[in-house]
Amino acid sequence: MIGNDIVDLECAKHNSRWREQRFLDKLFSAIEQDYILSDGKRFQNIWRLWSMKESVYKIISRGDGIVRFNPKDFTCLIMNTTQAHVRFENTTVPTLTETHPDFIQTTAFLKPDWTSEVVQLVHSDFKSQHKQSYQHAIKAYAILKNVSQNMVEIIKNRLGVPQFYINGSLQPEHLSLTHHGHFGAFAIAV
Amino acid sequence: MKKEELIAKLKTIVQPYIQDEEAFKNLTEETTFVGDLKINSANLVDVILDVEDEFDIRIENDEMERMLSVKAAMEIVTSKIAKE
Repeated sequence: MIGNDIVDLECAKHNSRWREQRFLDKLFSAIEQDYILSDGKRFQNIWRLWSMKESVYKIISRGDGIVRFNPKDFTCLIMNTTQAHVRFENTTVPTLTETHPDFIQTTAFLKPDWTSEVVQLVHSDFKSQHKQSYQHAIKAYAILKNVSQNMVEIIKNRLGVPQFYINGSLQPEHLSLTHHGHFGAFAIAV
Repeated sequence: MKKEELIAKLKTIVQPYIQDEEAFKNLTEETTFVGDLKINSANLVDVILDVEDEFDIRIENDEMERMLSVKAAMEIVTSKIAKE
């Protein structure tokens, strides 16, 4: 299982109440808030921890099929500027975060073999972003499996989890897709 | 508060965050924030804070956890207003 999340920092800066204490209190524990405020990078730290929680949430909700908004049930354990763990109940999931001037993206993974890619999206409306994200993931998967792109399809299962199909048959590799603002990313567990 | 009035207020609150105009236009009690309106999950907390401000209430974590649809938001807001 794999989960990922990307935050377009320009979007996040303007279309969010991240500056407010109440925002922090709804999403982060006291220890997480200490980390956020520790080094003068409040904005980046908020979105790093958020993308960590969100990518692990995707793994958890895909496991039990429950949709909820419980960011405080996910505890961030920072190791260094890129690596961390997120704990949910009895499960601890490793995460890897990339902090770029324009975006922050995290991949959460249960097994160490995975690949991910960030893509810049040409259109900013939701439907074309969605389509572009799918196309990029299909292209990468076709190369990975050495098949033609037109043999590959992504279809969501009944829980909304995107899955790869080749010539109509379900493939074992797990996929996670994310997009926000002008950026998208996919992660494939190989 | 009348149901229609409540829905209208919630509609105004979610508008800046929605990414599916069609679903927004046809918003009903059954509409979900992420699944239908395509609100980015990063903005769910903004919706919650805006609801708190609009109705002058405080939403607890266990309520926030299930506030994922217009219907759930209406139930939570209604129960809070009734208590005050």
